[in-house]
Amino acid sequence: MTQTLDNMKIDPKTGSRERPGEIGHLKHQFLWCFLTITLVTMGVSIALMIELGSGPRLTDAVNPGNTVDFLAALRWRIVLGAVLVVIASGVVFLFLHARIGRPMEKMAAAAGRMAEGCLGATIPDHPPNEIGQIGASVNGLAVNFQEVLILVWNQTEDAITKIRRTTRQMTPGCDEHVSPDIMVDLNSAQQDLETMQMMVRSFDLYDVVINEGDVLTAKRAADTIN
Amino acid sequence: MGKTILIVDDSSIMRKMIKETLKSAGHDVIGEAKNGSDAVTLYKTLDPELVTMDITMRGMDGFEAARQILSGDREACIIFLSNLDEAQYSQEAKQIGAKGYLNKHRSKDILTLIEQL
Repeated sequence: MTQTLDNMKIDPKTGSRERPGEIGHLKHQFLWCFLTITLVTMGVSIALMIELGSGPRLTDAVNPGNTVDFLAALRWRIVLGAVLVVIASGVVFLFLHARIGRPMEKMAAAAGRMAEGCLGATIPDHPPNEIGQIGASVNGLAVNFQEVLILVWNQTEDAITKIRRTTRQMTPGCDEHVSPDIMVDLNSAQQDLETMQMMVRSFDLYDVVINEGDVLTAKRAADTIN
Repeated sequence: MGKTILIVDDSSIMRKMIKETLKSAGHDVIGEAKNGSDAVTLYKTLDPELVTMDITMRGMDGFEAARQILSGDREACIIFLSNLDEAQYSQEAKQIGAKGYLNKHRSKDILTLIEQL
């Protein structure tokens, strides 16, 4: 079994990573929000029902002398109950906004930059729920994508160097047995590789710069330019 | 005989590729770290015989992690595996005290390098 610092289990067959017991945080958070609002609403309803009371109190309230006082008291109870429900809803809203809304806004902004090719954009990997996990996974996807792009760059750079060397050796006049078709194919292959390199160059890579064919860290590239 | 190895790379795909290459030669990958600070901590915990180290990583980079590992264990055996230009960075890797520097697109050469160590 391979160990990682974040105590993730790594499936030896698929290589997929899973942190035990972490799935379901968002479900628990939604459940707590639902229970909070339900309990407050039920508490207010029960308080009002107790205030209304059963038969004798209602009979007293119907008495013309008591009705005004009873309704005034009831009105204040209803207002107080409504205020409590609004406060509970506000707390739940703020909690959900902090745990889901704000991280989603940041995630959408960073994911948008990534979709435009800016692989240096980082999605926050917190809070510790499924939203944070999505952030960490999208960051991982960007890292893997950058790795593939740089690998493509290095492989194409090697291949172009080899094609140029071969082309120089096969220049007409140097070797009369070379078919013109081979030169056309080599030129075509070189153009295809250069097109792939253009595609790689269209991305903004994280902490890495392609400078005159070499892959350098951004700091080293800046030092080279200066 | 296979060595116990810690792989340090921020790319999960790269870690998987390196792991498969090393396992095919009978080596035992005992740990994986996705940044430099995790690598330093895991090195102390696992005490591997060899570390394959990427350079560019979010958080602590590979050079800094290697410096910290080597400051705690002068005998640590670290091989840099990076996409960065070999001519520009292999000298720095050597100065730090690494046993080698390989470009990732020739990562299978690591098996030959390990045999030579």
